[in-house]
Amino acid sequence: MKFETIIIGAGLAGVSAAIRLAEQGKDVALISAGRSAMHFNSGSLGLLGFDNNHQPVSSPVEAMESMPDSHPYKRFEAASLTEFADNAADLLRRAGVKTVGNVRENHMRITPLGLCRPAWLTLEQVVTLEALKQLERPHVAIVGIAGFLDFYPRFIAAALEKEGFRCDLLTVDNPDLQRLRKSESEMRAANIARIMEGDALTRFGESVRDVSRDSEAAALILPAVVNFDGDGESLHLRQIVGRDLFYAPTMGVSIPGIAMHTRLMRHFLSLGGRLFNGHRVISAEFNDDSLVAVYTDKLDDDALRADNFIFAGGSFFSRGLVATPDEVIEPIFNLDTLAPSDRSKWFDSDLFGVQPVMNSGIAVDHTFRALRSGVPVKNLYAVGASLAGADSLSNDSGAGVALLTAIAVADRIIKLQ
Amino acid sequence: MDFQKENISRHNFEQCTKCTVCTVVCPVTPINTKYPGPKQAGPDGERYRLKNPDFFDEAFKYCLNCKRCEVACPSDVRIGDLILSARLTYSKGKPSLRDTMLAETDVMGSLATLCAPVVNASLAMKPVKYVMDRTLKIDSHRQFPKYASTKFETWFRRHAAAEQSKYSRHISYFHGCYVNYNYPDLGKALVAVCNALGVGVRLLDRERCCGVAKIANRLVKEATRDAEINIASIRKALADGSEAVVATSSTCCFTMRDEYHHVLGLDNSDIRRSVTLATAYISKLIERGDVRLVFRDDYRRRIAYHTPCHMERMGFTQYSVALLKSIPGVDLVVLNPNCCGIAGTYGFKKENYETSQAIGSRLFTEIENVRPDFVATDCETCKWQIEMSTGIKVKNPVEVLFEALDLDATRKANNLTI
Ligand SMILES: Cc1cc2nc3c(=O)[nH]c(=O)nc-3n(C[C@H](O)[C@H](O)[C@H](O)COP(=O)(O)OP(=O)(O)OC[C@H]3O[C@@H](n4cnc5c(N)ncnc54)[C@H](O)[C@@H]3O)c2cc1C
Ligand code: SF4
Ligand code: SF4
Repeated sequence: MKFETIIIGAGLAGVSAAIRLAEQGKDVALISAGRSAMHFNSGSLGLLGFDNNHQPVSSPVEAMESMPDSHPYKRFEAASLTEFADNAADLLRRAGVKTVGNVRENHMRITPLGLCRPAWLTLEQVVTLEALKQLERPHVAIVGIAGFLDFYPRFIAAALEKEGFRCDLLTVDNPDLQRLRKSESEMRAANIARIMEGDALTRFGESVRDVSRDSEAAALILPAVVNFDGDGESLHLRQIVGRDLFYAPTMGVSIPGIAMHTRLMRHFLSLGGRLFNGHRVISAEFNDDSLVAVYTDKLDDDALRADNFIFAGGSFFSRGLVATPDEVIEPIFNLDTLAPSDRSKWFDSDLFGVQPVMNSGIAVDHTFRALRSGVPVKNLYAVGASLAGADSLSNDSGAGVALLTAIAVADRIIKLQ
Repeated sequence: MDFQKENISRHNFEQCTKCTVCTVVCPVTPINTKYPGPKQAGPDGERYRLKNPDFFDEAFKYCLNCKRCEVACPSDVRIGDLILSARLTYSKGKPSLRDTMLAETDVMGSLATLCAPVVNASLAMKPVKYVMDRTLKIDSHRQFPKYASTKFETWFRRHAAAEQSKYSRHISYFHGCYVNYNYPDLGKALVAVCNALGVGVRLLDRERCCGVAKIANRLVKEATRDAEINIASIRKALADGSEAVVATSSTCCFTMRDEYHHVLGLDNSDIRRSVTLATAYISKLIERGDVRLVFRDDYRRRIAYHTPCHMERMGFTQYSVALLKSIPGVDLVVLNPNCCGIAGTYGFKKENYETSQAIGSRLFTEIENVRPDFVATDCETCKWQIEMSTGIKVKNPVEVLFEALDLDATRKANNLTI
């Protein structure tokens, strides 16, 4: 099969590049082995939350200039970064992922473990410190779910009390939740969300309303266990509960993250994009410095050909990068990688310190073309978490790197065609 | 020793990173709380079962074997295979009469075809359904697929076999039980389309049921016997010059390509690549420039394509989608990948009826919203389920091709004088 562009990996980077190209009427195929890191996204996207001295960043555009030259952001002209970041938020919005926040000033998200951390964009409905500060009085009620182990109201309260909020701690339970709890290990955000439809959603709303009846809180904070598939669910709930509602991210697989994935994928498919779901690219065919075709584990000897390829296979979690006992490799194309040469330098003995190996990844030229034996492959670009120089964990920059590099590469392909 | 390589056991279960993504997509867990879910039933439980088989749980029978968990897993763990293999290895007790009856699709089919009008009428009759519901625990809401009065094989031998030798290239058609007993028209459509493209069709010397229903109902010995016969017949067909063995059912194709090896432990490596789906085979002929398709000018249809679970797992969706899209006059909507809930014989069982319908409800609503002229899909059990639940007609992509092609013009375009 032949396409104009083939994208390998359907995480935030791959699907954003795919959408950008498909929106321009390009013929795009997206190949994806398994679900992506987006499923763990808290509902907040980081562009640059912490600088390299691990100081929280208030203005990401300004702080991006202070990043080392090896960082992917340094391949953008400083003046264009703002525009790319705004384009990214627009792309998300067109796919139905509506966010608050902007590139000029970070806001504060609240983590499931009860920390306030800087963020660039946050899904509407997901709680931010700034949204709570708009309430008429600093008083919220945090509603936990009986037997749900991925959300602790007390942690959230700890974060908010430091900021001067009064927090009521409530617990909701009802027969629907009890039924789900019969299988304790399956009492997870995604499974709760999947029963929260129709009558069960109404009953949940009524239970929340009843337990919060005596609270004078200006708003309720619920764990993000309500389907974000359509806006309908949360509106419905707000009506029943009768006051402002926000959702806080939970631990584990995250409903806001799944909602992002679902909407981005639907948008791509509605643009006529072609999806090879559950295919792992296992080998490739090169002709001199160009990539000709890729092969997947599902299609036997049927080659997938394209004029341009984008590798968006992610980092270690997604197996876009693989760490062997002594090197970091990119396993499909054997692209050049940058990593500390000596394994002993990969790690910091402080588990919570910055781990140098997280900076490793694929080496690219100034237009994000991947290098192979020191030479750029003419039509193979690398984007997202698989790029070298971006430690998205310590910089809180994963979504920014994914979105900005994806859009830059998609735009370049469109321009060159 | 390379520990990273040597330590991979069956179905990649050590690759599990405990990310829980599989639990997000399992259609059963949110609906049936008796089911422990893919992660616990699969890689988590396997660790314990290897030490002590008592950790096996009969509730694994609620698994649909849809493999949606495997498609979603970022670490290539074969979760569905783990659960199915555990059921085959550890489940106690013999499969019931009902399970055996539902699984013996070819024996049941042969009997039913002999007396199709009587069987069709009686399977549709309320008292019969009541008795089946009560005694056999086959849910009375189910409409049984109708049995045809002439088997596809019989039709083929009488009306088509002789002409096939006139073609210069051949495939062997694995028609499956459904085409043979219930829906010979699909088989006839495949023969007509292939012939118009200049490809002759043969049948296998001996074709048995692919075995999917026997595997699901734990009839391992019987499934293995059938699989061995099929593998031998496929080998012979390829040796006799067939280019490929082509199925019109995604599940038959998937079972022969993957389950024979992964679940039954048979060696099918020499034939696996040659076993394919009709739409995949035809797509490749078109791509290689071997054939030309000429469509009728007056064909205008709005079609919703449903991706069957095993089609998704097999990874062949784009072949069917691309073929349907290439038909001028077809307005194709690809439905979101949701399980229809029937999962072969699963949905026929009384204890599963409600789960089955609840799982399918998303898909049914979406189909109703799309308002297609008909639904296209590559799986026969999805067809029953969707037709029963939405009242909208369902066709196989090969039937759609058959309707949309100008067969005479196509024959001419392929320089056929036969
Ligand atoms: C657990 C976790 C939580 C995170 N939470 C957040 C958060 O809350 N906010 C935030 O801003 N950032 C977060 N991040 C950072 C995250 O890495 C980025 O935000 C971003 O999602 C990375 O996107 P990506 O598309 O580059 O890679 P990924 O999301 O990793 O996607 C890569 C995709 O490529 C596929 N793939 C890999 N190899 C192949 C192949 N050979 N063939 C086919 N497909 C292949 C994978 O299966 C995967 O689907 C988190 C990361 C992790 C791991
Ligand atoms: S999706 Fe795969 S890796 Fe994740 S928990 Fe399930 S089996 Fe394990
Ligand atoms: S095969 Fe289907 S039903 Fe069984 S565990 Fe996996 S997703 Fe669930």
